[in-house]
Amino acid sequence: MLFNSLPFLYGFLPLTYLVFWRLNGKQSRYVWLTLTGYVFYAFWNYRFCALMALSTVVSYLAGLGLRTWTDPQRRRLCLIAPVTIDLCLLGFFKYANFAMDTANRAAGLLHLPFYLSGPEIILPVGISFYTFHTITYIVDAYRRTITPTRNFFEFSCYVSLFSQLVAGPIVRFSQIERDLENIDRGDRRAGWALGWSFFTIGMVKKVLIADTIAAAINPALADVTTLSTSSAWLCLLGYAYQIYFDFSGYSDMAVGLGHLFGLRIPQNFNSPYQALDISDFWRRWHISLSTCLRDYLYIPLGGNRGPRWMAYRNVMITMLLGGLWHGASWTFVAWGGYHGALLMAYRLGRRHWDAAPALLRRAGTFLLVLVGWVFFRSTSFPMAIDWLERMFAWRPAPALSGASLFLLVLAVSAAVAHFGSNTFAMRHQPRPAVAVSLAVLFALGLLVIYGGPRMPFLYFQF
Amino acid sequence: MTGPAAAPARSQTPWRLAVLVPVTIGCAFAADLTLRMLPHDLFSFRAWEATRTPGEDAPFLPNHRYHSDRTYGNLAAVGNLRAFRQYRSVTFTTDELGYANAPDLARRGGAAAIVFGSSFAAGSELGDDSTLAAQLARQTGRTVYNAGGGDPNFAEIRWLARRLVAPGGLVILEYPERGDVPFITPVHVTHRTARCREVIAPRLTGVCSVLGWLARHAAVSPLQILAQRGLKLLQDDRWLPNPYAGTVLQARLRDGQGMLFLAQERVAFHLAAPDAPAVRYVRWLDRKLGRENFRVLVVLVPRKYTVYAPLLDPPDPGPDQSAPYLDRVEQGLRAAGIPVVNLTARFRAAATAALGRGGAGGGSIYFPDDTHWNAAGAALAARDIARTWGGLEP
Repeated sequence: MLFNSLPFLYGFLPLTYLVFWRLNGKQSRYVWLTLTGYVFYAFWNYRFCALMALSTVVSYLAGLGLRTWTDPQRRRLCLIAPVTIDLCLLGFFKYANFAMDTANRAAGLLHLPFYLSGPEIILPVGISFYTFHTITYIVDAYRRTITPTRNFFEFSCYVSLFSQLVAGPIVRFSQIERDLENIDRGDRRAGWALGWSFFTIGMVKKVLIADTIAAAINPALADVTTLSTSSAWLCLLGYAYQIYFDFSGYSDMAVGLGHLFGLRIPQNFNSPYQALDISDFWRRWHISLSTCLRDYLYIPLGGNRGPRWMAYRNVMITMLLGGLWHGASWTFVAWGGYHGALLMAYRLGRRHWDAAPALLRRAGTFLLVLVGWVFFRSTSFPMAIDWLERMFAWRPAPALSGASLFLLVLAVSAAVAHFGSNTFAMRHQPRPAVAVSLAVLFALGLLVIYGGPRMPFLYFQF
Repeated sequence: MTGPAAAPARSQTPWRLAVLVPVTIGCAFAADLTLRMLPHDLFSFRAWEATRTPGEDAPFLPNHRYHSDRTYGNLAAVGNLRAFRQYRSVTFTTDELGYANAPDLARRGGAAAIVFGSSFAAGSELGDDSTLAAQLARQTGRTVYNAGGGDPNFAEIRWLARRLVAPGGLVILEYPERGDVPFITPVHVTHRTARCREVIAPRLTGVCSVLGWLARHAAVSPLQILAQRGLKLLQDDRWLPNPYAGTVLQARLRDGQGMLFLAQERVAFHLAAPDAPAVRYVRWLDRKLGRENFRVLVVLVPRKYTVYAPLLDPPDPGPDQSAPYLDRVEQGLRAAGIPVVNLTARFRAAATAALGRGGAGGGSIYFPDDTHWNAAGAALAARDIARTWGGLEP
């Protein structure tokens, strides 16, 4: 089920909300949110609910073990077993086909008599997110930064919370633990106002901005070899804003829904296109993932400690795996590698970069990020190379035709992304005129949902 | 982490997002429900969509009359090609069984022939006087019942023929060139209303009608239709690219006349479809209906693209096959002794003859903006069928 769908807005959300606030006890609210999370997930494919339940039960039991036992051996077992199971699930469902395909290609290149085949494996929606939820929980419990809960439904509610289930943000247990503990004491009215404000802004971002851009650039990107230089750049700009407004729109909606149920979901985007350098960009873009990668991968690898080359190696490993997390394709690995290289280059030339005027640094960072999106959006390396070639080797032809509205939306997107404040920095007390305007935009968004094709969030595929 | 601004003070003004947005959702939901109660005629662009009852016994609403002076072709609609729309006036009447006939035809019974088949037979985009059955009746002076428009199985064919056709009458099977065998469903009445009637006592059949009405109105959202139209206005290749244009092929005939085709038809034109399943099925059906004392006549109707492919600019010579699909089906049926009318050659000849006479009124046999034949095409088919029918008489 999508947040931007009629069954969600007319059925799921009102029912979940009304029953939730009718229930009084903590336990009944945990159970209700768990149940609704599974129903929400089952709308996509009910068979994969079992997978989420398995991951939940294993991690819960491991959490109990970590809570009870103090001897290092048992505690290590409670860390390794569930993390291995989670990674195996993720590896099998997300990367098995990719691994087979890569092995077959390599065998073909080397003329080896070798071919692996297997069934086409369906990628369960949200598996990258809920496995990260459970892994961070286990690791935090092992590090004793959280106390694992004894209440199974509190934990299952945390894992299957519908607002963050399929595309994050990746909320760590420590970030939401207090709200979960006080789930029976939430301020319904305050959450109601804040929740609708976030949700409305997210919906407008997704449906009116991201989807309009997608409608214009997707037909053009279906065959990049026909693009002129200006079209290639326009498509790239369009995609940069599409992915930002799509994902930050989803995150805003998730935060808004959290508020409606008395849960504060942390910020995931902090105006990333206003970043002054690439390191700053990663502190602002998909914050929940980048902090996870930092705390659970980069720092355990050694972080900045040791010789300089070790730090660079750690950055590169982190970014390559971060790229691979996004999707089972070498183009995502290339995207991660590109950002890893940018981060290393920034560390090397930091003094010179930081000396430049802020406006120049901001523009430069955006340009570098922009080029990276070519690999992220391309479905193959030939597509990425064709696209880059068309961007940098002059091909005179008219810019994207038949897309006046796209240019208009692009201009608005650019203004908001580069100069506007992000949703968390806004005062959620708009003047009546602004509130009415936003409500009109929301109504327009509803009409687009009615009339347009089903448009899932981009991050659902990761 | 930057925290969000504090929740607003509990202001009493209704001009707050927390009021406006939930109210907007509620209003949209209420509007959706209300509009679903209204007849679909108000929102459809042609009779086919306004009167269809998918999943029911009959293809259309029973005892219904649809009239519009501004219907246009399905290709112009599917491809969102406003410039290609050709508006026309259509009156479409259904009888008490839900087929496109004069209201009292089902009651009278005793028809000399009954026509089963696709939307071609039913008369998509044709008025009451121009359907294949109506024109066949006019040309032969006999009563012909139009049972086209559904995908009836054998049980339904038999039930309708027994009820409406005189013993020894003719069952005309219109078979469109689509390569898949029609009516292959087992001999069960599978449709929803019929099942419902079997389960619920006859006195409660009113419940079935209510359920049917609810199902039909639950399935169609006029608000969705209106929103789609609004969005399609923007997707005009000026404001936004038209994502639907690829589903329709915009082509020109040798005389410069513009003609739309379903893009899939061109793909299918170049594929070699096996003829054996269709021949096997029709032979089986012929045997079954023969036991019921009915004669069978098969009418093979080519796709629009098949008819016009040689007349396109440049022409599409088509696949390198020993014989086109419908020709092979025709040969198979003739070998089995089943009377058959293959309209391909006749239609191509008529389309070639019409070249240079231009547009809709210039002798075209298909609507330029629709996949279906027009009144002239149906008349041509009726003439060929009438001639073959005459030859079948003892």
